[in-house]
Amino acid sequence: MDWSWASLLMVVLLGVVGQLALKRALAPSPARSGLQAYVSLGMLTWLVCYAISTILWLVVLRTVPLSQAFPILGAQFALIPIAARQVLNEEVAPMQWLGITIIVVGVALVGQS
Amino acid sequence: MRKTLAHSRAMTIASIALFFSIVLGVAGQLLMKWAALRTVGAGLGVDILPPIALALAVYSMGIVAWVVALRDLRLSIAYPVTSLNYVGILAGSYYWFGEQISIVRAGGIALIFAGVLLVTLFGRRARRAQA
Repeated sequence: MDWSWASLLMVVLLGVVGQLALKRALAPSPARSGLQAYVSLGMLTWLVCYAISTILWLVVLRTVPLSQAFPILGAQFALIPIAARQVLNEEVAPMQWLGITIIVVGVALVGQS
Repeated sequence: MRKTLAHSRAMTIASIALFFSIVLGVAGQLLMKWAALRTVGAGLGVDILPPIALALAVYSMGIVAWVVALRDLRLSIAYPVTSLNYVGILAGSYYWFGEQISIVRAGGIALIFAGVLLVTLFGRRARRAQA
């Protein structure tokens, strides 16, 4: 079975999860300071997501053209603000919503090409 | 006077770092494509590791260069330059891997980058940093 497109989806999702974990880990917190601020579950999550997505990325590139796969990673930029809104209570500006919409259209076009 | 000289030097270093972040990022991705293609039909032999390691090393250096650039360059200046990543990858994919790039794909990529710019530069944090 060709796992390439499922792997590409996973790379996108892992990128989102890892980025959110990193954001939350790096947010100033009174509970952690100094070295402890860097060594945390969030950082570990980010590292694991990064490592797995790198391996999956290679799986993707075995069959999917780079000129198609790489731009599709841009979907992360559409998902991260939405996820950050849910998980980190971040606001999404109107222009960002426009950007998200444009990214989705672009990804659909590239995915079809 | 010294403050101005220090500033221009920081800007020069940051611009050079930005340039390298693009070059190394594109090279890293092209190397990853090359490494991935080499694993096709090769099984899980150990000799698939060196190309992957090289690709990751180059790509990681690109990330470091990007972080260095961002210490002194505003994101609103630096981020649009990352469009060159797409240009470089398109050119490299076409030239080295013979990938066919349709108008639809090119148009989609332009849209994706435009969208990424909007999301990145119009975030609340970005606006605060520019103030």
